[in-house]
Amino acid sequence: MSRKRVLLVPLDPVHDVGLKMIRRGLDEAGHETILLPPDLPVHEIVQEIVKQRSDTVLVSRTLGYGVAELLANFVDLLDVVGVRSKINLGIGGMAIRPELAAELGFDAGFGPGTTVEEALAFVERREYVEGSQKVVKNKRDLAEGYSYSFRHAGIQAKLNLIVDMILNWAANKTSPGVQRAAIREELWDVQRWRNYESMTDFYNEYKQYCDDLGKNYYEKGILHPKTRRFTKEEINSSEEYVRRTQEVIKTPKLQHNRTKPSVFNQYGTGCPFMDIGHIKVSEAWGADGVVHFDPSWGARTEGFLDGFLTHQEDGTVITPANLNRIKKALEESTLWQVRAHRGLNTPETIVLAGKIGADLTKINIAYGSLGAGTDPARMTVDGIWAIRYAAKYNLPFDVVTNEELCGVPAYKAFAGMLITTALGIRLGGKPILQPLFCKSPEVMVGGQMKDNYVEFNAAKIMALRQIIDAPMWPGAPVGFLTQTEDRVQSSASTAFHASLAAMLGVDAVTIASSDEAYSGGPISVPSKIDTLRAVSEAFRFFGQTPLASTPQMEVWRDSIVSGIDSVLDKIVERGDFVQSLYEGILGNREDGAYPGRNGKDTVTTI
Amino acid sequence: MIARKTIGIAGTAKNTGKTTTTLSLLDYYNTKGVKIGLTSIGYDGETIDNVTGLPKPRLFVRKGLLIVTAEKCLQASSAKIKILENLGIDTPLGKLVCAVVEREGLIVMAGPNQSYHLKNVRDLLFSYGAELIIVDGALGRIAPMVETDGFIMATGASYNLDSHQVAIHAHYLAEICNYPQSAKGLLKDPAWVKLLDSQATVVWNSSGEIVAEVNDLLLNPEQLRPFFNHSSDARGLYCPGLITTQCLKKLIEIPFPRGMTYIFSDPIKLIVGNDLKVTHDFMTKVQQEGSVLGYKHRLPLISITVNPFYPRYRYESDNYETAYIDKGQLLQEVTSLANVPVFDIVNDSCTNLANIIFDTGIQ
Repeated sequence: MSRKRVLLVPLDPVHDVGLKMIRRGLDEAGHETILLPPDLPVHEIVQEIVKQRSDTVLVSRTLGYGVAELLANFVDLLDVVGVRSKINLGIGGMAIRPELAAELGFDAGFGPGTTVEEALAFVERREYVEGSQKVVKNKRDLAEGYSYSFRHAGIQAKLNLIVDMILNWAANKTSPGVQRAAIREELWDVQRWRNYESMTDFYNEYKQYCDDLGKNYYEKGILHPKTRRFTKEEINSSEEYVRRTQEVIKTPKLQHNRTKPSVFNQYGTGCPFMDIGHIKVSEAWGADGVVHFDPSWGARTEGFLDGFLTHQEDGTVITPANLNRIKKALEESTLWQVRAHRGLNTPETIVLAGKIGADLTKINIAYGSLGAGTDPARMTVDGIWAIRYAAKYNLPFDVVTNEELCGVPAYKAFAGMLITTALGIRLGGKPILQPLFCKSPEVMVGGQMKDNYVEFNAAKIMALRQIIDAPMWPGAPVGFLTQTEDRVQSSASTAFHASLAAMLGVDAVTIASSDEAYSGGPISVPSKIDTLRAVSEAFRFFGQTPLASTPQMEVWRDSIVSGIDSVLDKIVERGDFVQSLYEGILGNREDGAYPGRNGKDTVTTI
Repeated sequence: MIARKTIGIAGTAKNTGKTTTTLSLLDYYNTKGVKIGLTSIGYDGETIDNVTGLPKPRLFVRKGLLIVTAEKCLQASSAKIKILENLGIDTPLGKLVCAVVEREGLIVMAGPNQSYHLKNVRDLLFSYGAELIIVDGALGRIAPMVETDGFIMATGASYNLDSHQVAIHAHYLAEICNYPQSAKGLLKDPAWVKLLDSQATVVWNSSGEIVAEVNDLLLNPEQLRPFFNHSSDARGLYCPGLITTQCLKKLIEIPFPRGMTYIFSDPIKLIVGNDLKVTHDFMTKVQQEGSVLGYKHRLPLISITVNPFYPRYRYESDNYETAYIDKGQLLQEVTSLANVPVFDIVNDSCTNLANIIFDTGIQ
């Protein structure tokens, strides 16, 4: 690349900051730049251009009354004095667009948001390929770099005892969920399924472990009453939509100069076609990952249906075809989490997600038992197998807590989370801690958030860090209970919570849309954009500023750690993890936690 | 049949009726079966004006029209267009292509926006069989018109709400473009015509010897100082480049003898960036001194079209609205002052304008 002589001309009375930025980039690239003083008469500028024998002239000017005429006259002068054909002539400024540059006789027009790279390509007469500078996002392994070693020896020792207790209890137990997962694992081949090959062996075996919904589907072709298949036309337009969107989509980075947290949001409109639209919008506005939400009845049903199905209420039905279509629509860089933390299909969800190519899943025995309605014994047996499959398919899983919706105090919820985490580590999995950043019933009553939302949430992260070196992913979604029906308030609140996550250096964060708490139905697309834009702006605002620790944070940190320790003591003393769940040691009726009943008495001894 | 020629349509400001004039001519020649090549040195055919946000006349074109426009404009056009050739010339809207309209519809145009490229575009359109090339102008830009055989100037209320001022400006333009003669006709002797090959601004004596020379571009009055020392034996002056208003004022102060011959490259060099009143005063003074003026390349202003429309700014709402000045008065004042045919392009038939184009460049 030959060194170019570039004349930078601020035609504006005062503004030349854009040119100064470009100048730095050009100087760094080894070009010779001359910056004229602002507001010289046009004739003098033309004289200067002739005298300097410049290769390129970059003019900056904000458009205003009579400015177009001034610029046209400037270009005419260059043409008349014979230098126009010898120079590369560009204009930049507010309200400058390529059409206007063409009209005024420039070779290029640069509007707001022009990068130095674009200007450099113009100066070097290279074709500027948008995208050559596009942020190339790569999937991050959220668990990478963590040793999973415990920093709190006392808690580690108790967790080890409890993990032994759980594994011994479950050693000779199984459930229909575990059986279906095993059948899905052994007999369901994703390649054969994708090729529409016959899988009779699988279906014959599988339906025996399903409840009536599954049996009716596999034997009589009857669907769940609130679902239907897509029509051929709908499928075609869905495929066309994905194709056209993938051609043009760009995936911006939200984190400014930070590498983390990865930002997730949730989809689950019920309609996988609409979900795909939501996912593409989330990706285009910078989300790093998306979380699949299934219907609440999915947790109470033994077995999955199949087919590309849409559901008329919230939550998108987990079927191989639905997951497969969604997977195919994702950008390569997008992290995809399929949740399996609750319900009767927990282990099988992971087998299916693993075979179809999910990146992450979600498991928590304590939450699934106390906040999501599944019988503790069943959830424990199924949870163990879920973790085994997650390890096999290399799916890191977050261990979500339940202090938000149930009202279980953080220390109890964290004790449950740490038990699943320790079990996960023992079984070779990669658990990710998911404390909630929330205005929970605990703090509403206890007053920890009377002044600010920062210190108690920060104390949670500090407490967990004092116990273990593990990845963290506040969720889910952060700040949910601080949102109102006011979209501006919701967006701002979400952005502050996400910024707190960033300043605490956690690995990921799940954010809500601005109408998530009040949509009264599916989340709307504009409200997803609201919060992604707000988070992007907040990340830009704080940059890499760290959060200073306060004495109050330390007090709450210590009380959470000792609270966890005392809960674990009680379980060790009780000597039975499952009974501890039933008896409320990890959250009782007063806390708002009720042992679930779905799948009661379905655990059998082998 | 008309001889192959290139006609420019320039405007004194936005919204003076360039596109309307173009459309009117395209329609006329379409009915006459004349093969037209169309290009633009600006950006034409947009729905909404880039500055005022007011709707603009769309460029509706018919089958067979040859065009040169930027690639990205094709996507915004509803006419079916077949690309004949990519010219490889870059513009802010992609490379220029030469194309033919296969099915009528709307088009958006952004063509070559400097003289140097317009020359190539012109030759290419002729090679594809164009008999007449129309170059649609751009906001306040006139320089590329130097590559045409003559141009039409669209003016009106958008340039100035006072129709008298519009008329005076039109008068100056017409005089500056059309009054000076052809340099070859003035100098006659081929030996003297050779003086016009000079790359510098030169002054010669009665024997046709160059006695002083300065830069080709006369931007700064100081540049003219050497001519003061040779004023008495000077008989002629030739400036191949731009001359600014300040230099014209200085030039007039030099005590050259009566009966001088002043030759400039073309009228554009006296117009661009200059105060036309000063240029016009210079010409009048020269004439009074019995001197003559000529252009190496003549560029006739063949007609003026007037448009009473202007976008009126509304302070209350920070936008523009459609407004008009008195149409009859505008036409009458411009006609009485400008010594070229003047048309109200919206109301007059295009036949007279077409006849004038037919006569252009035949002298």
